[in-house]
Amino acid sequence: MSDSFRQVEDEYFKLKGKLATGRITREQFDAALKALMIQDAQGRWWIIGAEDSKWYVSDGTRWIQTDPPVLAPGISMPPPPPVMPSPPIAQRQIAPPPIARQQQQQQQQQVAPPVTAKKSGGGCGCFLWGCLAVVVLLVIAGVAVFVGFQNGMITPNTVLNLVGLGPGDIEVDNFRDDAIQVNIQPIATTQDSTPSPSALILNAFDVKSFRAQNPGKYRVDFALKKGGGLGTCTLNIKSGDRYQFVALPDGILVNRANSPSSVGRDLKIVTSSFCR
Amino acid sequence: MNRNIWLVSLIGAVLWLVGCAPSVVVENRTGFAVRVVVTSANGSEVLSPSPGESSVAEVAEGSYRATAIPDAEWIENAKATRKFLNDQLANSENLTGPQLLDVIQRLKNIAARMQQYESTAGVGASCSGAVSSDGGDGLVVISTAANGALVVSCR
Repeated sequence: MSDSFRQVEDEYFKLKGKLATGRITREQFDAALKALMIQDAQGRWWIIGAEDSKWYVSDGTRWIQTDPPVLAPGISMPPPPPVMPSPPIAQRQIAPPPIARQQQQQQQQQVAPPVTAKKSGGGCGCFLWGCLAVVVLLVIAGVAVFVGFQNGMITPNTVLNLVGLGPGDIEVDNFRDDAIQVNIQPIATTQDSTPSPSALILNAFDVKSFRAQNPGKYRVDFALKKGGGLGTCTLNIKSGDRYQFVALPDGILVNRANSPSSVGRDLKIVTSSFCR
Repeated sequence: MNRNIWLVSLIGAVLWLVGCAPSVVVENRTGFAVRVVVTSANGSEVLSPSPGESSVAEVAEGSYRATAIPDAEWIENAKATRKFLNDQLANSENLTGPQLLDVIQRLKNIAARMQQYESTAGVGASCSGAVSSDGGDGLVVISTAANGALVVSCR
């Protein structure tokens, strides 16, 4: 017998003595005995029976009473493994020691969950309920999108804006006493196609809009209808942008309605960072 | 590879569909100046075709609404807004945070005013129609009834 087995036996009998004299409880004894399990060079687990003080070895499925090897080099004493062989009770040749029986019960508990779940069908049920919930959510989302399209709340442009390919809008309010002309010329857009320039004629106090289908750079020129320039702004229009220009007697005011500036000088097209 | 071609084609088709914006022609058949708000999914426009003439509003495909609004009232309100904005623009470099927020709110109020006129329009002062990219322009005719009231009809 190797030193490791002797050390375990020594420890075992010390524990037995403490138990007999009442210095430790039965639970403390069993717990300490568990810690005395050792593994030999072949990887087999050994334990001493709590009651009969005999050695038991596990062959992977059951505990067999036998004597430890006389020479077993490389035997170590690691902490108890998380998973131990779980011998079926019907196939047990020798009743395992009580302490081993406790471990078998623990092992069966560790292995049991998948088998138990399979019998009850709980996991499968959860999976089905999850699938059903996803299907219901998809149906609700589909109905919501359909209703949104019907009501005009969702448009193709809404979808395009989500992927950054949507249009931008320019609104011009002519608050001058005379008619003006606004020429909008695309300079560089994200699409290959070259959109044609657009001209808006606004009488006094008219409001008109221009939709830039392709995000990109646009040059916006303001002029009196009868002639004479009022100003120019080069906009970098992004998907979903809404620019508002107001033609006033003393100049042109610009604002990005979807994300206004916090700086006053951005209101004037001659000094605005929107127009660079 | 084929998948990418299909994706590009799909995006191109959508852009082409939304790119052909239809328009609405507003015809003034009265003997005086009128002001009309035309609203579609693209937003609102305010037009003022001279007597016997017409103006054009670009609208989104689908339904639109045209509403005749009191011209004098609109101009009076616009002039008040103009005075405020003109004063702020002259001092734009020195605007405080609250003053800047006030300017932005007044700009928002222009659109809100248009919506207000639409929601309070009397019977006969508004009409609704629909346009499609391949169905031609919409037509809105402004005329006067026997009692002198404005009549707006979408054709």
